[in-house]
Amino acid sequence: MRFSRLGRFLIAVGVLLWSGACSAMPAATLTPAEATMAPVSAPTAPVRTSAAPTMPAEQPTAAPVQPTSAPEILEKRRLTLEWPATMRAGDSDDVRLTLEMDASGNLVSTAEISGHQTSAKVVQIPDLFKTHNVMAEARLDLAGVQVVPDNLVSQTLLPGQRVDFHWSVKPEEVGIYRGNVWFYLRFIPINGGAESQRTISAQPIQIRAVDMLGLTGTPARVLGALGTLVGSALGLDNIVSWIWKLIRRKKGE
Amino acid sequence: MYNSDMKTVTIRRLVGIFILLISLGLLLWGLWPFSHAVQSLPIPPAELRLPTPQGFAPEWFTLF
Repeated sequence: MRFSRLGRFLIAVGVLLWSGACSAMPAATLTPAEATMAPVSAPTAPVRTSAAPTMPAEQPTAAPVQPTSAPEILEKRRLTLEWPATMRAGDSDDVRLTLEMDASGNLVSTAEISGHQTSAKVVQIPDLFKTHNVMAEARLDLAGVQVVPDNLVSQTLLPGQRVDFHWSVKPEEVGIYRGNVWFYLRFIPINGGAESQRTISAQPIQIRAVDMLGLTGTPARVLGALGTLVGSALGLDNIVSWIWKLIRRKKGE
Repeated sequence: MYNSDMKTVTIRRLVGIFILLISLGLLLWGLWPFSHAVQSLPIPPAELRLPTPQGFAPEWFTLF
């Protein structure tokens, strides 16, 4: 009896000591495969390799080079959308989407803080154009309005070049029409592999189609032209003879 | 007789001028160029990168 109690006590102590030893073991080191699969998150303050950071002379700081980040297009771009907010029913107009270089130029500028010790991590960001063919794609979704072209439009995006997309829209009836302009980038690996697509923006637009006294664009113009002729003939019939007399008087002088 | 003819001519001219003004208004509205709305968005380079697969496991799952 005393031995069984002692035995149980020793076993419990042994289990406790063994579990304590297990929890105090150092963390497992990552294998090379696990190290490469670590999530690639954007550093909070990456320093682009194109412009070296400004370091105070009295406190130079070494900038260790980090492994490569996800490739990206090293350009600041601007997406400009232009559309007719108001147009005549029955008329057609142009919706234009342009992806162009930003006015400030190419690469992101490096932050420089004078008088501060800067400890920057230089991140090598590979250029996406070197590994992929990039296609810019756009689509205009606008219910109730005739849109040409009405499907996805694709163009090749080249470094430093702008791309333009044009749609012709024609609302047949009076009303307010709302839709979206979608813009995507499609990445096609040069060495082969699966394509990927990224949605860059989905901009809402609204077009208001109006008429005049129930007349749309073309009927209003036709009626206006005819009415101008008739009104001139009825109301200004003596104008022609008056002008003719004036000309003859001047010739007689 | 002369007065009635003059009245007729005056009325005709007034109607003609009225039609002319309405028609010019219609013509002006039919040809007036409406202005376009413009919206510009800056696209930073961080948006122009390959889409990376994001983990969707809840945080508590990583505790096990």
